[in-house]
Amino acid sequence: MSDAIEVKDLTVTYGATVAVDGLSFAVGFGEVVGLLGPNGAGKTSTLETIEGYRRPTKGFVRVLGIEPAAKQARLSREMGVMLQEGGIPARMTVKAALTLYSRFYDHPQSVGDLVTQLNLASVLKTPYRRLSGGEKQRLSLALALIGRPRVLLLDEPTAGVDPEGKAAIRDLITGLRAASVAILMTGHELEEIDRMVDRVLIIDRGKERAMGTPAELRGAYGGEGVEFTAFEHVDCEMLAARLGSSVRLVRVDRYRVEAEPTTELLGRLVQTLTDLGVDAQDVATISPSLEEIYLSLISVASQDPGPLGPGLSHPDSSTLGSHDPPAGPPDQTGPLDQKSPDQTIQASTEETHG
Amino acid sequence: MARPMLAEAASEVKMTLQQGEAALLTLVIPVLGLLVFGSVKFLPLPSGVPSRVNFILAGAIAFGIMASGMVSQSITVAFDRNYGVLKRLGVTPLGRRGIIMAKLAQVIALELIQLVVLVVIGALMGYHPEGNPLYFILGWVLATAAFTGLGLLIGGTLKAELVLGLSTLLWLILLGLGSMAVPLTSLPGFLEVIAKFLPAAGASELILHGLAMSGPVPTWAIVNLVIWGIGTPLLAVRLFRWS
Repeated sequence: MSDAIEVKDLTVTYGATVAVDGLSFAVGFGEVVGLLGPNGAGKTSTLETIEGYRRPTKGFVRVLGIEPAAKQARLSREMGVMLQEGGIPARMTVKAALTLYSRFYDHPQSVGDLVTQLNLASVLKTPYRRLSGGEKQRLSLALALIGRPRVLLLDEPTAGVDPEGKAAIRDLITGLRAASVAILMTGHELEEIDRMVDRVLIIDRGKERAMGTPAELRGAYGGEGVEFTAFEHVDCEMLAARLGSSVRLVRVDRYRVEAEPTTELLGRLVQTLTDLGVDAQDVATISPSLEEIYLSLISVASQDPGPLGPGLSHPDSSTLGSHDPPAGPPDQTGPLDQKSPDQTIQASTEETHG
Repeated sequence: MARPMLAEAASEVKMTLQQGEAALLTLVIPVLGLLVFGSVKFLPLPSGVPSRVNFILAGAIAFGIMASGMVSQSITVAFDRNYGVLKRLGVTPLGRRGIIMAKLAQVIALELIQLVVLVVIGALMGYHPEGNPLYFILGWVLATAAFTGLGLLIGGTLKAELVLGLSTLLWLILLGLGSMAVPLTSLPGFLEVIAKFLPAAGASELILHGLAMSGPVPTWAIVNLVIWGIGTPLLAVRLFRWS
């Protein structure tokens, strides 16, 4: 078994609506993958399929080699899930929730250790409804970790968390990665995601837009470069010809050379500008943030489904935007009503309790 | 699954007893009903019942089963669904089947507490055991199934805000038509007919003949409660939505 989570050609539909459209990716042990996308991109449907709440309309999902929808109970002992919000009764105290959840597992983590790690000691007797947003998130994360999971699904783990809490969560995730836990997380705080993940999968309208390490995405995105300020006119075409890279005016007196900002490029740029008699100031390398890459990809997805550049994984851009229902088996049934996100008790009878 | 299920059931019983409104619903109101209706003299009694306390005690027990199984469960389940509690629990080793088992265990635990409290108070008010205990067991089991099934059906399909009002209204209607305080024979003819199709009257009749009154149970009461006791859990299983 090479990957902890395997998703292959996953398609999830609700009636005529296609929520996930042929998505494929994997998460290895000791790897942190960020699943990013705008609201309605298909993140929740993907996560719920991995959690076992949904059966794929088409394709397959395996977690630790197990099909989640068929054997959710067995998988639940090795998979920790952090929901986007809620999930705990409003009047239940932090201590009661941790104690209860610890009783669900054969070898739970020490409640005391989790309380210390996630800084929950001061709110142990506080009911869930009175917790701040950050405290709720930290409790939810503690509940996801209490069973010592090998696979962790985190839905917006740092949303609403204060800077100290974010740092604690980052440290925790670093430790889990070192302990070979496979982590798939979603989120909208892209700066935080950038600091935590090994790879990023960006999806929109159920389809993959890009996948790779943040560095690969930066390289493939082409937003890197070197900027400088010059108060006299610079002939961009001439400079570009000399450098072998495109050059453009980004502000009234600010120019950008669009190329990987190597030392060699910097040296050539400074020399060329000197040769041209240009007094360049504030020379600086530019590296796009994950947020800039993300916004660019999502924006491109809404306008032009074409290829995004070399290095980017982009298997099906030519059909992006198509919302035609897939040709999956219409009679397929699973733990959920395929026409609705809601689930039925009937589904519980399909569980295998090993 | 047994240990997670028992842990969840114990947690739910504890929370119910700690919550003022839930304890009021499942324990205080049935006790008050017994004290008030068991003391007033002007309400009619069905023929063959040895005493008013015997009649009202049986009604209070059925009333309590409705409160624990239907009203309390429907409200809890509806809000649990609303807040993602069921979804969160469903991905733990407790599992979805465990959640339902825990809910049932919680209802049974609450009903046992109710039963002890009501019988002790009834005895202090002059209750004398009569009837066939097998009828009581049959009535208690089927009523628990019927009302818990109804609770899960209502709580598992409707919006939380709607459930709060609807289940309380249903509770009051079933109290009036359930032969709990007023005998069926004292109702207007058409209401008596309607009442015989509702689970409350079937539950009351079986519990009455099991605890407080000699003689055979009317066939309609057994048929009624068997249908409700099997039908509502099956319907709940089919229609329940987890989130």
